[in-house]
Amino acid sequence: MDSHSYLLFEVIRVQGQTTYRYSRVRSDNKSRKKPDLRAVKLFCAIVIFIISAAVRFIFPGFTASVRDEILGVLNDDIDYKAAAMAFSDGLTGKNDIKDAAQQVFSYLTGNEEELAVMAEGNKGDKGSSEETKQPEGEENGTSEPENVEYTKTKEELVATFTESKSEFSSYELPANTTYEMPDLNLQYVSPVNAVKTSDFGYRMHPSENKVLFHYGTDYGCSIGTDVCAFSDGEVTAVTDSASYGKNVIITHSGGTTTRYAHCSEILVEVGDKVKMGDVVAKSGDTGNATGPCMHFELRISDVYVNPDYYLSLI
Amino acid sequence: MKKITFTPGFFILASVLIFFLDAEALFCVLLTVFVHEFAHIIMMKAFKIKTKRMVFSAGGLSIEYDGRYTPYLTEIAIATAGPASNILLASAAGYGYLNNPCDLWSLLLIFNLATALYNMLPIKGLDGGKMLQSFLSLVFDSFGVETVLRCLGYIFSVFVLISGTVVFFKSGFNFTLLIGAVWLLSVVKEKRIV
Repeated sequence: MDSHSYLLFEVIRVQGQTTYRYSRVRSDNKSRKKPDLRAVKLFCAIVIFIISAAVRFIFPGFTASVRDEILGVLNDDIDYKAAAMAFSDGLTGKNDIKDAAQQVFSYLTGNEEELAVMAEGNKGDKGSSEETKQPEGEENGTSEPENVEYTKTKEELVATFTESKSEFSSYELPANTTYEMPDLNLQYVSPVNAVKTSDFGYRMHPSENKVLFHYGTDYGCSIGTDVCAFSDGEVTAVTDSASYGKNVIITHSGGTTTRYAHCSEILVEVGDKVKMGDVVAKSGDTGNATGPCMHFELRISDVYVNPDYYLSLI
Repeated sequence: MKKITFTPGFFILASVLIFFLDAEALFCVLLTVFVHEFAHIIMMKAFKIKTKRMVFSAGGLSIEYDGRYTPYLTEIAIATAGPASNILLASAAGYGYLNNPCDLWSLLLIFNLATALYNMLPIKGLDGGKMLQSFLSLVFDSFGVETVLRCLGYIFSVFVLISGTVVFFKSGFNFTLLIGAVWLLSVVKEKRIV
């Protein structure tokens, strides 16, 4: 039988009066026995989870590429590190808690315009514009980036540099390089006391006479000049190559690495812990150098950036 | 704890997390959730309240308890414990980040801060909603409480929805906040204890 009937007995009490009602209700089996959709949904969800976990662990390369592609859209405008720094500044009282909260929100939503406006506001609060443009620690030669002023200066630096490279604008930037200025949350010093002789980025190569990308900045200095560690870190490579000559690589915290090339002498060994400002090498003209100089490379999260952006802030 | 319930939504959420997050971020998410819920449990134990059920759903993890005989102020304390623990952990991560600026600290800080703020929204089903519900219950009857909560829920959800839409177009299609807003709208009617 597809359908059946049953008796319904109801007790209805309205304003103190009780009435009873019997009725016959027809029902069919379809409406009484609904399929357990929840179990089906749960089963499907578990299968999706198992597949997802299996793909993640069996094809990590594929997963990483898909993840980077999609998360790239989400994270392009989100600067977690800058937000963390702004929050920490608020906690320690370096920055007003209200401003810190606004900065955290702006970094997480990628609202650069708002940050620029805040930078202007803070400039007025603090007094002279000279003070606000200089990062802290200038007197002892160190630099501790402070987000508000940093953002203001950053835009100017990037704009000026990009304009200086406009004649090479038709050249596509090589992989893992950028003309942008990522945040560098390190205390640092200038690795050498010298004048810049060749800039980062595309340039007419002095000896090969063709346009090539320059992955670092050259500083002209006499042979034997002290080359100092840019920031605290660990020596991760000491090599001697045809192009770089004698060179040393130091890994700093937060995925930042620096290379000091064309040296005449390396004074450290792989595994050595170095402090900011420690002398790690003597400058020279080894490798493919047109004269005595120190070639300095800065990589932030494996991306080559213009070191001069940061050194010009000191 | 008498019962642990897994909903289909939880497995979908777990699939997304396991696929998209790297080990570091996954660790931060798990630690954030663990600390949040552990704080609720500690507070329940402190007030000698028995937990009834642990529910793993698309909205995360929630712990249900028998609130029939629980004083309102106790309910407020239990609800506050979760976000408060996240703020404490975010502060610790902030100091950690100052001493050693690395990805782990920044992720931990942001996840905890986001979890605390999200849970403090005065929307029924979230900790903020629970706090407000208990607080309003001291003043209004159940109908008044329900009305106020429902209205606030919709107001905040729509506010987040508008913010999410603005962020979506301004940031180049970052849809995270938009998803959050849709989720909030869906939980406005949902009934959860903690």
